[in-house]
Amino acid sequence: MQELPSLLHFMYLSNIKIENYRGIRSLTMPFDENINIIIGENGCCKTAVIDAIRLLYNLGNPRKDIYLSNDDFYVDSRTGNQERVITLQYVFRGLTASEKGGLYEYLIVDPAEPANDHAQVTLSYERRENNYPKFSYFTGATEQQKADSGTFEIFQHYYLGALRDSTIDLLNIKNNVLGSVIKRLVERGKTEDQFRKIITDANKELLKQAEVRDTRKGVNNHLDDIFKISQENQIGLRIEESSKIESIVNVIRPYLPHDKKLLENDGFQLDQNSLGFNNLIYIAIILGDIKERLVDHPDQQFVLLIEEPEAHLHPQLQLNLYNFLKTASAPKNCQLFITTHSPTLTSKSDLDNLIVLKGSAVNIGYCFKDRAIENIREQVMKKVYLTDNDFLKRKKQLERYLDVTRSQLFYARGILFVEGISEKLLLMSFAELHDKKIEDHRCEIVSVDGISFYSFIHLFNSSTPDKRLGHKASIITDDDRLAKAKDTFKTLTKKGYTNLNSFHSKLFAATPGNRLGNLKLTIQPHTTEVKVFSAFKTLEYEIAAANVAANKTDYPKNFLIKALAGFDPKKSTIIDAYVTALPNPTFGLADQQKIAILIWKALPSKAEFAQNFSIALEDEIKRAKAANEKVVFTVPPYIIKAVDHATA
Amino acid sequence: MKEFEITDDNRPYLDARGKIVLNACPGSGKTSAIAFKLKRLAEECLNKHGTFAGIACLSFTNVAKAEIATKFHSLHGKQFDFPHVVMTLDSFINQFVTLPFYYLLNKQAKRPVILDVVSFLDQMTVGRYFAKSRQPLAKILKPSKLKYELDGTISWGGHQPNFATVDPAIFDEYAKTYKKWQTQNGYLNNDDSTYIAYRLLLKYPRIATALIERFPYIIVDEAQDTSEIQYKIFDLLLNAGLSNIEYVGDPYQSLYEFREARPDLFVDRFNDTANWRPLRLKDCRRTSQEIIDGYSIFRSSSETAITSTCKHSSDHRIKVLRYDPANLDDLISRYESLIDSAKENTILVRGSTHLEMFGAKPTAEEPWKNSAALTLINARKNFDLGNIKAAVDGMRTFLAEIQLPDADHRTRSEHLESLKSDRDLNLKLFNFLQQIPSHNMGLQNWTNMTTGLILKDLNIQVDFELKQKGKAFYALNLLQTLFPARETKFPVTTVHKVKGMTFHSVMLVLSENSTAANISLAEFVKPTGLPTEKQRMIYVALSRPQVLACIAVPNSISEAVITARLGANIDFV
Repeated sequence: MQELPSLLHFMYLSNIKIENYRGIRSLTMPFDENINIIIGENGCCKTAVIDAIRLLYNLGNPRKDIYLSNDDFYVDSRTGNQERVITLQYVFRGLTASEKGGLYEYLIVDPAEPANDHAQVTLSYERRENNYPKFSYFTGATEQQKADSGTFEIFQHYYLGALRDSTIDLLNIKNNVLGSVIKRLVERGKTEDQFRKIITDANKELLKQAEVRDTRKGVNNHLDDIFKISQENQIGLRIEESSKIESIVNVIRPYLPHDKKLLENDGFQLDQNSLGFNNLIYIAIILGDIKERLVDHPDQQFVLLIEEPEAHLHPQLQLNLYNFLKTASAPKNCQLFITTHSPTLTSKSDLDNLIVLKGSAVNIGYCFKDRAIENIREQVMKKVYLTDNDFLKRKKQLERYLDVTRSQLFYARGILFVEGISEKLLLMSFAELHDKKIEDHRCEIVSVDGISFYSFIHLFNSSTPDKRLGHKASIITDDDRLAKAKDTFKTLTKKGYTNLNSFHSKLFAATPGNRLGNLKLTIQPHTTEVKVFSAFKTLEYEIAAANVAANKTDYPKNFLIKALAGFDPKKSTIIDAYVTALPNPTFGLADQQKIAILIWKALPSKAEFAQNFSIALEDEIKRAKAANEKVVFTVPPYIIKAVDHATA
Repeated sequence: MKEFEITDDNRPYLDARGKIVLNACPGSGKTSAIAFKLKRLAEECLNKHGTFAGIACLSFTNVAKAEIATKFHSLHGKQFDFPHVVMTLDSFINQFVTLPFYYLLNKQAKRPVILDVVSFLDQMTVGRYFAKSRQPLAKILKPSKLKYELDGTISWGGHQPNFATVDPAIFDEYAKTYKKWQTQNGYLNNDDSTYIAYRLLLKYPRIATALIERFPYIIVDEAQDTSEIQYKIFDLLLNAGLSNIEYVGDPYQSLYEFREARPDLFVDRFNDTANWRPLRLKDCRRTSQEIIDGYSIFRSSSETAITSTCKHSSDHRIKVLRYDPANLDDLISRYESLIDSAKENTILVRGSTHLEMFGAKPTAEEPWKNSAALTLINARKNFDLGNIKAAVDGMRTFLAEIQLPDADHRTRSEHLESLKSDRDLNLKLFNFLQQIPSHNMGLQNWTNMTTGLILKDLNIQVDFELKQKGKAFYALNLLQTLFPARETKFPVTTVHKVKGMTFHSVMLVLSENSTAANISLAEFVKPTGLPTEKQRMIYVALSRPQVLACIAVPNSISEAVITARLGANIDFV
């Protein structure tokens, strides 16, 4: 790890280790120095991670916005046992010389590698009977070392929770963010007196007004009547002035002017805006505040924690927001942590900024880093091992793919990789027929659309646990045997089916193509999470083969056969004739195979078949359910295995 | 809030920045000057270095450190706290160098506990090593006095052992074994810690770089007592780029040569004008000029003279009282007749043997086998004197002792640490303190009452184990046994104890001659360079009083001899 010159970087939270906090038994999470986007299912403890970060950054805040109670201690769901100690350990890297001074008592020095020097602080909470948890901390390497608590002011943060109402926050009188920004600039410019003078002058004018004076006179006259004797009980009128700048500036509010040029005069009030828009206004103001605070306090480190920034925002606007947060606004000394459920947001991000949380935390970019050492090959024929550059290329391909397809790949629990949209359409219906609806199992079908599978495979095949996703994945592909043969239905049915017979022999003598072997090679032997499921020759053949009954009687009952009759009556008739012409009522294996070949070749083009057949099959499923019948159709066995594997 | 007066004498120091050596004469208001300057420096530090960098104001004793803290508060109305520190130099080195980074020198080492004394080592056996006389080395060269020297060798009490009595190779192995045991198990004394800190800074300069970012300003008060290795540590910090450091002190008042103090190195830096900026405080607000002229005999002739700016009237010639060593009471009453007893006065003696002569030192005879009892009594004494913190600390130590009577030192220290964080306990101990019976009663009575109280309040059964039995022993008055006192209207104390203090009058008691540790008239000669330690002791003694300095000389010495030594400007009483 090279140390960048100190002008270019500041310290950042490099990783956090959480033990026994809420739903987390033990978790170590690495962070990027700039942007961190955390993805995970509901209940995967994303919020616990965000709150764990907040707990440290709250220590420097006079106004606490998070507390820890006895309920926050991890409970083992099997035994019901609740842990007694929560430990949160924070590591900071990239410290400049002056930051090393400020966090001196946090420093841990690596005798072998100066670039590895870092700062560390550990918070610990102990659960006590009939009492609030006992808090303690230590800084640096050993437990008895405690830097002065004044150092906690180095850590500053802003937090936007998930169910926030930015409108209320913007209208708040006491803790007004816009007011804080203005106040900061006033203090820096030392113009407090000017502001006060304006208010004092205005108040004086008010008091001079006839209505105010007349009221006073009236009241005093009445008092005279009551007291009769003395005039000592006359009142004066004044305005309760606060000299605090906050009170003066906190009444200033943002609003949407009708005049877009002058940005003055009439306009919509905040609570007339959409929630989404107010959300954005709030974020914009906060970023302004951070910028100013960084000028005043270059020796502090800021983090911005936003849960679900996509809340109330249309997808396109989500993208704009993300780009904004990423480029123009994030100052160097500010680290961003986002949790999200939005594939729109994540599709645009660099993989280095994405962290998938599922039990353990995996940084997606890290899955492609320093992998050359694992000696992985993508080709059986060539003894060429992938270099770090090759992995980088694969990573870029994946980023591009995600950018364009808005895939929900990282949001699923199990993944089924298919070649294209046709396979995807069919697969969905097949899964339903197999009684495993894809959505119910939180599975995602990712169609790679002709791009190679490799970029995806490398997400799963590392020997290092924190460089691989733990999801189950099935890769569904064809085995491409006898790739060169281009026989059509027409040619196969000629010459009394001699072509069919020779094609059949060749097909069953052929071996799978190189591509399949390459794929299997890349999926290193030590991962059982990813498996390749290959079709004999092709998906359409397998569909056909699975649905050729064993005898002449059952043959026409199959739904595929019926559908084929609808798609292409001519070819269907020819096949029926072939079947009828077979000598025995029961089919031998070779006969079944030949029938399957014919059916396969008779099917319409891939896309057309997929579209139409999947609709037809779904309708059939519904009809059969209503009529309490079974659908006479068999899903190809390899597909079933693939689906079972991914939904395990 | 007190006001501070900026004078022509102290202004140069207040305005100076960079590498400074300040030579401050007695009574110059050095502590106030430092405390005043700290506020200015704090503002500069904030502007230049931000909120999290500060000033390290270091002194040698807790008393001196407390003085600066108090002075700052009285001048500025607030505490001098984070990001600044006021600490002893030893604590600073411990907290900011040794303790955070000790593991870099030895991965297996436990985090050390740094103790003032490691005398418990003398009770332990680590290996078997013998002198040439076949006596165990651990008995004749006690391991608690083994000390690392700058070059990495180990000395005994700062010196090489006599190689006639012990083989150097065996001594070396013996020393290394004990030191290794200490490091592995984490028991260091301050010397060990300073040595480790020096080695850490030498080997890992980036620690020094980070440290000076944290403390871009360092002030060393009483810097005349800095040792060679401590100077070397500061040199390492200077090498790393420290630009603001001040050594403030008076080489004439260095009394700690026995503890490695090197006033000569202070003087070297003062004279090294190429690298250091020398400054002086030469106005004495405390003492009248006659007395100053009297003790200035010990200042070398090239030294700048001290000017008295005190406000009280003059004619305070030094008074000499010739006394009969067998009749100290007479000396005391003659002194009493000279002084204003409403003011602070003191009699100063050389050391503890003299103190005993005056009956001021407690006899070492504890009537119990269990030392916990004395811990308790001392805690109670502190409580009576109003030193509440010391009293509660003592109570905690007592509690740790009786809760874990058989534990080793480390376990007890750790237990003590955990007790410190128990706030409810403080209140309980405070209440307990108030109930401890006064020790002005019979030995057995006190012992029984106290053990009963401990059982009732703390629920622990303790046996103090009286050393003897019998009615007479039991009936001895505890107060008299522990603190046999003489009725004196003012304290009798050693010179070391009054360093930095001010008295209305002082009487320094000399011995007949200068054998061993005694001080006598023989010291009164003009030194060529730095005065000897004995001369410095007299210097300190005579610079304490405001209006009256008395010297008591044994009557075996004639007036003529005395006048020859002290000059004509004295009065005999």
